[in-house]
Amino acid sequence: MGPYRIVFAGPIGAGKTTAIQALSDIPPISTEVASVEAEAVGKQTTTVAFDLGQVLLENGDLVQLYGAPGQARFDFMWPMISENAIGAVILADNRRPDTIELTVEYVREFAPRITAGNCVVGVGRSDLHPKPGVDAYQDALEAEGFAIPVMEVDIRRKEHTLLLLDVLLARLEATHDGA
Amino acid sequence: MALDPRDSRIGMQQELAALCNKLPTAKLAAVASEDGLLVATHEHAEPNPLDRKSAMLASLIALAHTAAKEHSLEEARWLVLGCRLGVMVVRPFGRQRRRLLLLVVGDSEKLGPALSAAKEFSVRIDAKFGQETAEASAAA
Repeated sequence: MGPYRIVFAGPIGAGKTTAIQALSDIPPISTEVASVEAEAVGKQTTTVAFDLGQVLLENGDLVQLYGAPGQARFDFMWPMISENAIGAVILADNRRPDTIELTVEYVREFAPRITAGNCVVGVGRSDLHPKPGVDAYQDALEAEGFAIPVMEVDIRRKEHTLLLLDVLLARLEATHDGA
Repeated sequence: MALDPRDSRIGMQQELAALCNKLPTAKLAAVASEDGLLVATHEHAEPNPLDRKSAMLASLIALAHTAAKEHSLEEARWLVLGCRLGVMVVRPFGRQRRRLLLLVVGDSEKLGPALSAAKEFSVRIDAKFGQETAEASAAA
């Protein structure tokens, strides 16, 4: 079946490009360029259009992985990338002091564009920055009306990112079964 | 001694204004960084980090590069959008740091002169500002 589309979103430096590189079965299409904000954002390159990879799941489903550019000035790309997407992985960067507010903002932005609002939050860099914990994210999302799974992940590891996809697909199946 | 970033931005604005003056139907000339931040336009030299038009340029040229590579044509040197009411020309340039020149001309018959003027501009700017324009972008 498929191909299905899953979107990776989140602030600059959260690891969207890295996650897609780790997960994709093919060399991903990348639109990374040198960033003039490198010092401010702590990252030498940034995605200016989208990343595109694909992964063939064990059940034979082909999933296209689209990475959205993180900065708000690229928000015109977000609806294009999200069109017909069956799920969104919102990546959070636990180094940022405003990570919870940002995560809620990205969920608010992407959930309405995705089939059945099917999102999952992956919290990165929690090994070195354990606070805030998953519960704090969950509480903030629930306060905004979003019942969304939140998990700690190391996006460099394929099995962690695959787990995020599994959660998205399981939630989608549950939605269909319940309909 | 390196130019103050603001001075080089003002210098670039003057060059962009001169470019527009050369082409009577030019509507806009602007320079943006490769990652979509406005450096200067023909009318003003103040960067605007929330400018979506510059971000769109960055997305367009990045996709053009990607498409060109898919066809083994290496990097894109021009992007021309022929529109009902005119032409948009985007030209990446810059030895030290890549930047994008946007030229909008309200007459699609003037594509040739627009391409020629854009090429001259990018060569001149590189020679004139070089490293300083990289600093202006970094300061933006």
